[in-house]
Amino acid sequence: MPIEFHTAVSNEPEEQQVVFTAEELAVQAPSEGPQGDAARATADGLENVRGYTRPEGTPEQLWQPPTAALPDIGEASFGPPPVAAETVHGPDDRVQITDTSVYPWRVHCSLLITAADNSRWIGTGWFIGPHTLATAGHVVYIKNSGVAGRDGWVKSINVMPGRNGNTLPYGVVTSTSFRTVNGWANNGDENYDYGAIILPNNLGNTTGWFGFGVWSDADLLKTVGNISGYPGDKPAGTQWYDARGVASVGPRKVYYDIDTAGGQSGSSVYHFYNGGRYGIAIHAYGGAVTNSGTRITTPVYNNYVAWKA
Amino acid sequence: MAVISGVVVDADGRAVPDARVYLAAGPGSFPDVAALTDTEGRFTLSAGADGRYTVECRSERGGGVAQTAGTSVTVRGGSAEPVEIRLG
Repeated sequence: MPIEFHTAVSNEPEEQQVVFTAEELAVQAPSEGPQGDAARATADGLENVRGYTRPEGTPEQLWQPPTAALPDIGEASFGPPPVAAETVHGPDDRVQITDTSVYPWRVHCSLLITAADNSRWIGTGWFIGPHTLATAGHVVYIKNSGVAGRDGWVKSINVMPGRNGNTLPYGVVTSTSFRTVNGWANNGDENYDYGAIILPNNLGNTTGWFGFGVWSDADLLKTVGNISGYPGDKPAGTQWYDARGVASVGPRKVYYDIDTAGGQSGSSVYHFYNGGRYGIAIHAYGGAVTNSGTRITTPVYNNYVAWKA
Repeated sequence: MAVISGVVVDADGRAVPDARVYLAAGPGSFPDVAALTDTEGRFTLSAGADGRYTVECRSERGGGVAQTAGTSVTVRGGSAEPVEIRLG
């Protein structure tokens, strides 16, 4: 019997599977929450952030032909080639977000993760519903660490929406309820590196959330990817934003030259669609020329729809 | 999976807890997470392929003054020598 890599797994055995038919697939709508006015985007698919300018040389190339820099097919089985990788490429274009209690910034959450061996980590998650955050699989389930006692479901995650340094506009919520899929938990395949954090309350009704959806290669290749998250190379607990055109796409991955650093795993890679913000991938890896995230394909979409229920 | 382990210390050689340690460069791709050092300044990061990695660290301990440092470490045959990262 073939392994079903997208089969959902949970640290809560009673979790029930929800099955969706193809006819039900569309996009999940965002919500801006009830508090205040949301920040507006620019006409070219970027967040309107003071001090942020698009990197020179890239605006004219926001659309790239599908043949540009596509990863070799062997990468699907054997991973990317072992060349020097870094997560900030060239000049660091990230800008700090200080009005983190405003939508969309309050959707992004600083995560403090306690692993099975009590080691602690930082990451990022983003609301996709009232009580559900999307994040990377390796944020909720550590795989192939090489450290005794570390692998497996993490013990707990402290979720801090819209954190700005020592300021926590929505407090801290601790979760011990997590989701990921077979392809990550049992196979450690980075093509399936996505997961979710379930909160014990409905804080997302206050912060709002991002939509998410499945887009074609052609659509993704002409879109701008936006990322905001909580990198470890900046002042503790501060949120940083960057955006650039999607560089290339694979069947299960999206590649981009958006600057990130350790701590931004789990961030939303999102774009604008009909005026709303929609996740297209979950940021997970630093890479050689581009960073990468797990693409929201139909099975990923189905799982997130089930996990936000 | 190779493990890059080490300790973060201040200019006086004292352990720095709660420093954020992460891979900034290396061969192949790597998860974009950051570890927090324990009470004795220790950390362990997982590395994939053999090769040379850049490990960086940042801490605002002691009055909030930011201190950053980094070092290079070579993973060979799936193992690496422990590193010491000195802040300040």
